[in-house]
Amino acid sequence: MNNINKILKYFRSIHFGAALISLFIVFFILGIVIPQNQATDFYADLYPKRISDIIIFLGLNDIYRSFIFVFLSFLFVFNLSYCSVYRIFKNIKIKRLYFGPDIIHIGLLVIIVGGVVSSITRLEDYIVAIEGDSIKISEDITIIVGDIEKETYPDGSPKSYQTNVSVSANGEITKKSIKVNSPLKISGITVYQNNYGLTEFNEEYTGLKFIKDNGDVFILIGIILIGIGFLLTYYKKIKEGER
Amino acid sequence: MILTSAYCLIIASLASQIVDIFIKFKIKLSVFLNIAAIVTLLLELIRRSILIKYIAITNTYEALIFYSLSIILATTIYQATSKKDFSRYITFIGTIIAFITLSLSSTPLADNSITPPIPALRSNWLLAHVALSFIGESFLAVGFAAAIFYLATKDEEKKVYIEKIIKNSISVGYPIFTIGALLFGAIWAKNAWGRYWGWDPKETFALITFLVYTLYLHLRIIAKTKIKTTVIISVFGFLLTIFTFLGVNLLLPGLHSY
Repeated sequence: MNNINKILKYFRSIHFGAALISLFIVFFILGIVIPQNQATDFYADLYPKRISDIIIFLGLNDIYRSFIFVFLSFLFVFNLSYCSVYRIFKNIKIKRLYFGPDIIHIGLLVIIVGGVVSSITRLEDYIVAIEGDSIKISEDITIIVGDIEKETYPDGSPKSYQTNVSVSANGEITKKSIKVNSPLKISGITVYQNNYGLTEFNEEYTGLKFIKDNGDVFILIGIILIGIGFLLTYYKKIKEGER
Repeated sequence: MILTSAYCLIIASLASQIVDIFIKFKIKLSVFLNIAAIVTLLLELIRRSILIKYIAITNTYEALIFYSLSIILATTIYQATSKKDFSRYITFIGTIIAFITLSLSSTPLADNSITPPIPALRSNWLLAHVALSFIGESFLAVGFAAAIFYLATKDEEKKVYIEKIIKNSISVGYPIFTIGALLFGAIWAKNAWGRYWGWDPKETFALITFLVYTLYLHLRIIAKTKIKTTVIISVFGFLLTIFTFLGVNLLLPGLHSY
């Protein structure tokens, strides 16, 4: 019993957390140093045999999907959630209102959940269209591409790309525009201005990206939580500093 | 012309700080010289903003000027609030870092031609993402200056105090950097490219930088005797901010224009 307690204590400890952070640093560096998602021969040519064998065996050629990385992530999520829950209950017990770091940790967990949801549910489509084309999004919604605009600076370099569209939903037509940095949202799908060019007949074409991603909302909530967590932590620090 | 005066003001500030080490004046002349340098650099950015009709933090050159400005600002805030006698050394190292940063804007690393921003940069997130990243990093620079002094000095009593400076500047710089570089960066990426995260080399290095400072802050809580190790980790963290800013552009091209 005593040993189990010791192990559990280690799993929620800051020591274990720090060890995992160190390992993540090593993995992210490896992910940059080792070229990712290449053919097996590529690694055999680039590295001595022993090293390329290790890379393939451990899956370091697709590092973020490798068994070790996924396992590390599990341990990290376990450490972080266990530590947060433990700390929150402890603080409530001693009536101490200090949750800043815990909110940061929970925000991080929510982002990880969002990442997993995103990797499972994300749908992405890239469509090239010219004026007059219609793109069917769902049973009831169709986008009709209107004029495609390129704005330039006096020196001729591009200033903005824009696609004007008519959205036809349930028989109702509304005029909208899609710009770089200003995507269009239609019933859970976001449309991005992704490309622009001229066809061989000198017509303007637009490249539109259609994205549906259920992980987005988690990631946004996580980002907001981390921001709030930082503010609370520093509010507390400043108050303590004044004393 | 404006930039030349900024160089002169920083050099004058450094000179007055050296004099200050030997002869202690009641009024710190260097504080005023630093403020003048900040105003001068701000004028240069305003001049460029008017020329490109946009906020002038759109390329490496303008970023270096902004970064140098905010390092002087962070250093001067520290200088003005610190009462300790030896804080002058940390201020001096900080001013040198700002000077080196500004000098880099006159090297081939940075193209100083005035060009308006590409469509992807035209976003309200540009200011929030870039400005906060560099403001955060400038506090990390003060922490780095203190870390250098920590590693150089042998006086144990001073070390205890300097270590607090390192921790405090990182505690201020870390959340600002995280919010600006990673969180606002992710929101902007979502808005421009349709994804919060894409393993772009600059993103990955910013994440590694964040993790190294995260490691520092956590080890700082549990370190009892191995304080020096945490200081060395913070030094690595700052070297990583420099690599993320300049090294990645040279070695690992990606989606970031600088």
